Amino acid sequence: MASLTIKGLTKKYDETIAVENFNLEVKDKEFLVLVGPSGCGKTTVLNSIAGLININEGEIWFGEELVDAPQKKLFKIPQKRGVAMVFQDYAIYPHMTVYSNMAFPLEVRKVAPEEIKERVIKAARLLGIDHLLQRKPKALSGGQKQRIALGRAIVRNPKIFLMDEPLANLDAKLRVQARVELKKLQEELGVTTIFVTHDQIEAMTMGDRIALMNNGHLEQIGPPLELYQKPKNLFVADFIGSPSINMFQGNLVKKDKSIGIDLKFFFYPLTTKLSKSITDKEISKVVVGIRPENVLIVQNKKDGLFQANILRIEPVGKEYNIHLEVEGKPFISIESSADNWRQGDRVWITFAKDYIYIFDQESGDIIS
Amino acid sequence: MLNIKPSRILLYGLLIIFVIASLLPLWTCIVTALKSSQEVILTTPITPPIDPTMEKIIESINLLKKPLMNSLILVFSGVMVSAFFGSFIGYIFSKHRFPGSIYMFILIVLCLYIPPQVQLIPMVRTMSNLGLFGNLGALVLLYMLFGIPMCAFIFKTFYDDEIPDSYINAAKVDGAGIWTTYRRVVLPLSILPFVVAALLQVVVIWNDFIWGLVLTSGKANLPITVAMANLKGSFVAEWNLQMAGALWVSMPTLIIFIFLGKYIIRGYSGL
Repeated sequence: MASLTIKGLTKKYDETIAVENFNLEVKDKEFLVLVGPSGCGKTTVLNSIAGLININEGEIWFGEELVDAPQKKLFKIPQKRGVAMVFQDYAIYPHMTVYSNMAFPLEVRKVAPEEIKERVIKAARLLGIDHLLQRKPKALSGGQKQRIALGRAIVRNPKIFLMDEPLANLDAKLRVQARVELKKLQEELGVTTIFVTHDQIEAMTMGDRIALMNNGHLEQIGPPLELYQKPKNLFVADFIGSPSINMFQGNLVKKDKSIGIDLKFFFYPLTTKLSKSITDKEISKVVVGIRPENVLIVQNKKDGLFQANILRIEPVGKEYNIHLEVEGKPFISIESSADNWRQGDRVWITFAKDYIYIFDQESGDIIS
Repeated sequence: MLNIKPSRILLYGLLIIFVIASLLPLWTCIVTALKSSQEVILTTPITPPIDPTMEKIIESINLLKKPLMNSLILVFSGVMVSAFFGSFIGYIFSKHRFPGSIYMFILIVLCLYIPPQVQLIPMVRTMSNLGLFGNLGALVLLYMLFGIPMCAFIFKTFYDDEIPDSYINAAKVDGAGIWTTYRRVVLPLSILPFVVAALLQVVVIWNDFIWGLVLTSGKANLPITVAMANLKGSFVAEWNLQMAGALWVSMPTLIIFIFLGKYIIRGYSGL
């Protein structure tokens, strides 16, 4: 068991920079999810930790042990790092039985045969695959293969688990189940885990903390709800949440004494506290972000409302995604009931006051 | 009334002509081998034998016994060694790339395109320096080495396409070195390319003529193709004996093509 520290990691492929000056600290026994769109460098970070690629700059520490530091000409080969990895395609060897697959890392490390047997059987029991040990993996289902891959990682008693989208190849129902099981297993074993995914729901539900990456940079790191509720910038706000946040471009304007945002179809006045923090900065163009559950549809006209058309009502089960449109700009509201409206209706809309995010259009950073 | 397009008829007509043209030599070979020496002179090469005899077929195999053994030794040693090295080299170039490895691999594959004619003299000199000239050992060594580029190419293509990098990475993370990964993971998954590479090499080595002719001397060291060519008599051409010999020589490759031809095609088409 160990903590993990990455300092200033930079990885270039020829001239393309995959990851630049990346810093990360993972606590002992923590489940950290590395999430981001494809090509953001998350797998590069994971492979760097495993030692499968050589980094250009930076340092990687496992606890007190330095394992990778190109400036100090230090590189510990993956065989000696003591991490276990689960791959997206599971990388289960088709010519070996489930037992041999799980025993492989121990055999390679010359563990005594009796101990191998004991550890493999123990891990198989834990994962509920002990009845499959003599089978060849070819005939097994995706979920079973995924467990074998996990089992192969567990028998090692590794310092750190690295998981590269291990749930991506499972079907939707199984994935939800596997999410819970994997998280429970990690808590039981207490192994520091880095879990890579592009799926923000997986990230939200599994991570103790989430590190959100984009274009080779770390955008924000924190507990799931913090990323959801206090996004640092437009990218984070947009990436986390499903359906994703509604965004409107607008201009900051002065009206009477207070400041407001002109959204073209609607003037959104800011509270005095907000206006104060904004006037200090020289910003005129902003983006207003509002989560779908905070877009409220109201029956009657009141002050501070605007009108929008209902494009489509999508039932998702316990709630409805209502697709709306104002002046050609589509947005979404989540409502618990849609009995009062129909497609094509014109309705009054308001934003829940305290849940609005204002971003600088130029830098994308949050203002309030 | 059957409704067949004229283009079909033309196509089949052409195909039948090609088939006849391709099979004619084999036919001639078989019928001539079955004729007595007298009948060979009196009849045309394509007429079937009036009084078939196995005499020349038996005579030729007696003459080719030793060369047949020689060729078998060449085939087995050549196939084993070049397939093994080809497999390991293919594995390194496919899964353990290093700076410049692609250029090295291109160089290895380019060896396939050097015509043997330009290598004859250097090879004869090298073999004499090694003290192998005239021996079967010269051919053994030569086929072992010459088979490696083709085998490396076959194995690399197979490993690139059929063995995911994650197998190698998983083994690495689990503590296996290059050799252990090869022996425990890659080698057991390589049955298909071994079959393909072995068949290709069997055919190439078995049919090779020029190296056997140039590098060996003395009756005891000849491979079967050269010995077969020597069956033609010094004063009279004994066609039936030659054809009987040719039948023995072509039999193994014919059988391979008929029953295992699909593997050879896979070898040439990148598996």
